[in-house]
Amino acid sequence: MQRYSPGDSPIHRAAPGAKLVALFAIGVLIALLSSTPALAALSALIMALFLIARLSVRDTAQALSPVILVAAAVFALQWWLTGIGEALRSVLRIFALVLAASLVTLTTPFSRMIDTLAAAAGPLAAFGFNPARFGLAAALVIRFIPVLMNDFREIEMARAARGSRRPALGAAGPLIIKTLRMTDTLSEAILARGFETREEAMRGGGRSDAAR
Amino acid sequence: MLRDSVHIALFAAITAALGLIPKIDLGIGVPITAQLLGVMLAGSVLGARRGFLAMALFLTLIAAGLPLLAGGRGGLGVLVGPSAGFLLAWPLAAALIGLATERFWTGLTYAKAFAINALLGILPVYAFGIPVLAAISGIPLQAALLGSLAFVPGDLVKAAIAAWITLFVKRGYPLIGRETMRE
Repeated sequence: MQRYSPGDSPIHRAAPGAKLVALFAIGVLIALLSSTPALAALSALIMALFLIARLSVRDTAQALSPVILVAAAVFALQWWLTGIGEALRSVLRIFALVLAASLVTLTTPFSRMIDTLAAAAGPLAAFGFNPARFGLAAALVIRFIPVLMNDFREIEMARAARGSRRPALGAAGPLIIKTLRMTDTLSEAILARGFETREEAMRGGGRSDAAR
Repeated sequence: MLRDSVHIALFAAITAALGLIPKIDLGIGVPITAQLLGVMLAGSVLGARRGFLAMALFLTLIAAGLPLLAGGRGGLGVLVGPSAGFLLAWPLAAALIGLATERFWTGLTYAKAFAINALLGILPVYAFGIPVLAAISGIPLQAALLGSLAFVPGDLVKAAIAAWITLFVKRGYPLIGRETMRE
């Protein structure tokens, strides 16, 4: 699992936006480089950044674990189709890119990354993007996941108690309607606590009082 | 509307919860997961606009580092890896499914709902995912295509489930009809 790994290295302290720009630049560089030594050097450089960020070997291995199987399949296929040189370069490209991206995730706390992404989406305000609404939705997703898992488990247990051994597929429809009802109650509760009114006041509308 | 934001968050969460169902790995590295079912449901229960936003929100949370993908994967690494294209197409797939579901909403039958979810849930994802897989890993397009076809049967099963749930929710708690009434 790839998560933020706390630390105080220069890479941890760098602005998330700067790290994203650097990641993009590395991506372009990886696409342009076509020699094996250059790609190997770049991979070594990214590994060195892991050392500077004082990330453990375990963090590095975990960063690569999701792509190990694809990389192995690609290596075998490329070796068979074009030769070992191209196979090596393909795998180096995948590893370098995934390592660089994982480094950004490992050194940036979730909340700072979300803020950076929301700020980057600022120009979308013209299309109705609303940072306050986005922050609320992001928080709700995290809250809803255990609620859903609980509801699902309850329905499964109830079915098991009634002696049903089929997978609880039939429970999926009722579960979704149940959670939709729950979210509507939640929306009303949020509205009753003045979320929209505050939102409008924050946007400097000031017409919220008149609207209510 | 605030209610829309909460629904969007709910379907992003449903997609994440589906990732907690154990996955089957076929070896090529793109695991079989139930999460495409979440994409289909977001489009066919919420409609095009909210379905798109639910999947965009889901991907944003992944990008910010939450391990919401099957097998506890997440972070920017999966969004630049070889199977990134299959994920990045989710908002588009949800939007297309939503558009078609809205279009055929009155008189939606199981066959229609299945066709919408199967065609528009599978085609955009593969049309995006296969070229990206070929480009990032450098393997020929045909090889990427052949390797990906193994997932189609599983995706058809998801479309069948999605169609069933779509009709169930349409009868019990329709959200698409209400939206068209409001506008």
